[in-house]
Amino acid sequence: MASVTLQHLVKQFRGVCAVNGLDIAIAQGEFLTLLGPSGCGKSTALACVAGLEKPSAGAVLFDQRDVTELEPHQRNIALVFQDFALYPHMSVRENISFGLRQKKLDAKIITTQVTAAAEMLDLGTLLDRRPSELSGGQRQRVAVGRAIVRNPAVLLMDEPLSNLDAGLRVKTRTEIKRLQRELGTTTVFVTHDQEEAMVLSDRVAVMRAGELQQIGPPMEVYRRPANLFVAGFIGSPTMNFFNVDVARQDGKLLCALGAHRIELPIDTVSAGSMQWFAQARHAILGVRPTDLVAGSGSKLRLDGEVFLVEPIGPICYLNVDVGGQAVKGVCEPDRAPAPGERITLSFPASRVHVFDPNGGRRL
Amino acid sequence: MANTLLDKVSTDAALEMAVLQRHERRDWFPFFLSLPALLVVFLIIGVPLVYSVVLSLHRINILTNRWIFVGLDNYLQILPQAEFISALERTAYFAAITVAVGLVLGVAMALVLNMNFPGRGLLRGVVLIPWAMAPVTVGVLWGWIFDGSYGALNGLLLDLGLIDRPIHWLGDGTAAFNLVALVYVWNQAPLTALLVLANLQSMPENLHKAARIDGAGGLRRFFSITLPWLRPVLLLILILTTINSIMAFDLFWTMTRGGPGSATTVFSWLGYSYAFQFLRFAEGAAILYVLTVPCLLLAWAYSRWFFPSVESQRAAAVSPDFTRTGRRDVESLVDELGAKIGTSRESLARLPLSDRSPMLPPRLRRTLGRIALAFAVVAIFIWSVGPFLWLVVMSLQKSADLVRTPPTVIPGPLTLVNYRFVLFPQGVADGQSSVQATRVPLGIVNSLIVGVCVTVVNLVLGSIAGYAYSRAARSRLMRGTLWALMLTRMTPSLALILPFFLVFKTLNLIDTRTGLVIAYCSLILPLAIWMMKGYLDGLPPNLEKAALVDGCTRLQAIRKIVLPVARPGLVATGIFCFLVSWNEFIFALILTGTPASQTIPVTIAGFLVQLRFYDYGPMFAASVLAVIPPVIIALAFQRYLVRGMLSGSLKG
Repeated sequence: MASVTLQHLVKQFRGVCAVNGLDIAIAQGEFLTLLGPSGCGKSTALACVAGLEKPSAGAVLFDQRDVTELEPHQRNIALVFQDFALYPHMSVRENISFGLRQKKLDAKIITTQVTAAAEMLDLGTLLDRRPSELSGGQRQRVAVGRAIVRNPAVLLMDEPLSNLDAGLRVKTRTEIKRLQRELGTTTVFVTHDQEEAMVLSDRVAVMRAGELQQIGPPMEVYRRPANLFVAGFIGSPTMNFFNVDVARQDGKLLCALGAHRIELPIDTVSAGSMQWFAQARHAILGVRPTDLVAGSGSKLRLDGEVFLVEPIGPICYLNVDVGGQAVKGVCEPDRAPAPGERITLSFPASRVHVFDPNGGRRL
Repeated sequence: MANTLLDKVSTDAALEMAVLQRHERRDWFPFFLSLPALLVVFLIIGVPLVYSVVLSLHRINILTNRWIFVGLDNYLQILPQAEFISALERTAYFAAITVAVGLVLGVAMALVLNMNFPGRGLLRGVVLIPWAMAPVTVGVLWGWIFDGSYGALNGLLLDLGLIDRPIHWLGDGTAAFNLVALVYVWNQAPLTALLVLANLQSMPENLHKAARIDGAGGLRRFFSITLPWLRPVLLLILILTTINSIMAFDLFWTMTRGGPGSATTVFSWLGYSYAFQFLRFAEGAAILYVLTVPCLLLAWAYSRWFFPSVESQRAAAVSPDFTRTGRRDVESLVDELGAKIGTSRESLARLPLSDRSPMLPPRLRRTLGRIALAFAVVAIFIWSVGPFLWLVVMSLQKSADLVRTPPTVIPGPLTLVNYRFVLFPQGVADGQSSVQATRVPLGIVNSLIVGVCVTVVNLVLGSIAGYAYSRAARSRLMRGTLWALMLTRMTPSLALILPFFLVFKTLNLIDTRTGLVIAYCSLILPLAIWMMKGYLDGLPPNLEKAALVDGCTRLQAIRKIVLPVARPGLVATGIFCFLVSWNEFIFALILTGTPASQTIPVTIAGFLVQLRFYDYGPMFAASVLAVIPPVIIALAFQRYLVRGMLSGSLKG
């Protein structure tokens, strides 16, 4: 176990900046997820931590020791690849023990380690098979086994679940979380799946175009997204955004959305952005579909005509035409309106996110 | 959009970056891996090519070994000559006709082989037979079939009563020229067929299903769906076969030797006869160098079409999402907010059903189709195997039975005596023993030794360099050298022979197997690198990364992980190296002089030079022996070969 610090990490490929000034401190035993759309630089950042890529600038520290120039095998890390990268010409046992054999460890120690890892991952019966004889889920377990058998200081995972089908993915991520909590290994996990990131992590680091957008515990990132990008990226279905005219009046924020008037208490926005409202005319409001509930349960309301109904089981998504804009809300599946009906969606002020239309910063 | 806060942050970042900037290092590892192969290629292709340019600018007296610089005189003297012009015309005609016929025939065979019929797997192997046979054997076989006195064609026509006197097929200039072209197509079309077949198989089935739903008939689908899909591979085949046809030499040597008269004197033959028959090296070099011009032009065209430009490569290397996510900014999000809710329903009209009724009733059509397919399958089978079987039959005939008058295709009694002649020359009591027959075992041994050495050398150099090129495709240095390698693959080997001959003479490498191995590397190494690169491109790079994480050094990762995993690619490349080396003729002909180092194609050619009637039988027995290893390899490793060729040639 080790703490990992990224100090202003920069990686350029032929003039293109894949990672641009990443500063992250990961505590011992922490599970950190790098989350972002494909091409955001998260895998490159991971490769720099692994030592497979050498950064163009900045440093990587393990336990405050600079490891930037060390080769991967000198860092005591393990890496689980997206395509698993199992050696096809070796059996499962040989795959798992390859790293240990490279270290020229005692045969007895190797056997104990492999047995222990196989036990943990339920690989006992598969040890003598070739990777080509395994199912996708089994291969994934072998890949994890190859990583944990060395009991690495830092465990790195590069989208290890995206080659599995949906059901298996959900099951495996529970396994990974359990294993990580048991072993207490510092883990850096890369994914583009926000749900995976939410479920697994102690903290989530959201990246875009090589830059860190927000870092924090999953629920904090979900509840208080730092900017429009994070707000739109985290949460499914995507947050509803409204372009509104704003004005400050009597200690309240008055927002005009077409014919709707929405009154927000002043503490919806942070105290620091009050000054901004003195001159601003426009803002972007964000409300998650799950916070927009059919009926008049909350104070703030939007009226519109339902044009599509999407039941998913426990709840039902409603697509509502609110003054020409498509808005997504939810209702109880049993009380779902028919397309063409007019309904009211209501939401609490505490679930409204306000963003600066210039730059997208949270206010 | 001005944003002071963001601006400030980024200037801060720039400042700090400058402070922390690490020394940007260049990764020389791939270059070092490719260096041995590059050096070899430079030494055995680059230097000889330059040497032959120099040669062509001199006048040389071979007795006094005096070189006089004459500038472009050799070129200027040769160029206007009628002999030169007509040889040029013949080469162009030969290339045009063989490429066109070969392409049509190859595509047709591939279409048949892509259908479903019993014995398809066998036929796919069998079509390779003509291609696997060494051109010399092909020439011997067909030369005999077309023979004016005893040939099988005359025999067949006489037996059938269609002619009453043997026709001297190769005696007529036009006929001879076209017959050589036909044989050349017979030899080369399988390659086209297999490349096309592999592409047909990789075609998404749904394309044809979609076209059928759109109402396209079979012919329409071929022209609108299949041909456009094949376009890249057809272009490649077009260029490769054109270069091959321009350089064709072996068949002319064995079948017509430029005659009758000068009717089949193509350019390569002209250069050969100047250099090695009239021993006018400088003029020969000039002629052979003129030959390289069209080949290099074609090579340039090839690289233009098959190497995506540096810019597009770079764009592809960087994930396109980089820029897009960068721009998917607040603006685009705000734009989305204003998007309309679609209500387009009645804008599309209801269309009438198409009523394209077939010309024939469906059942009749299906029956006719099946008959046509059966006919095509049988035709391809006879076309591919027939001549080969005829060669086997002739090798089992007594020499006396081969020269019966009038000729007939009904074989006489079968006997193994010819094989005894060539394999155990001492133990043959009856019949006349020929000197040439006694050289066959040594020829086979020489071919084996040379082939194995060439294979080993090229596999070692080629796989390591191929790995480097596969993994460092983005480096400008590596791209440049790879391009140069490609170019050397396109230069005609004939242009290399003369410098090899002269240099080997001074190095005492003439008439040695070592010399042959060196010369063959010039033919094979670029191809081996290219094939291995193609195969390794298909291996996930994460395998080596996993090995690095597991504690391997970069060399260990190659040795312990990459090479074992790449075994199928190594097998395919190795087979290729061996086949090319085993079948090669003209290098061996010129660079060897005595049976001590002659390979089996030269031995067979030796029969032709001093042909006596009692030599016919042993010659065919030797031909069969020379053909059997490549044919077996081709049949056994058909799938490997096709895949290797594809990866070696198509994937840029």
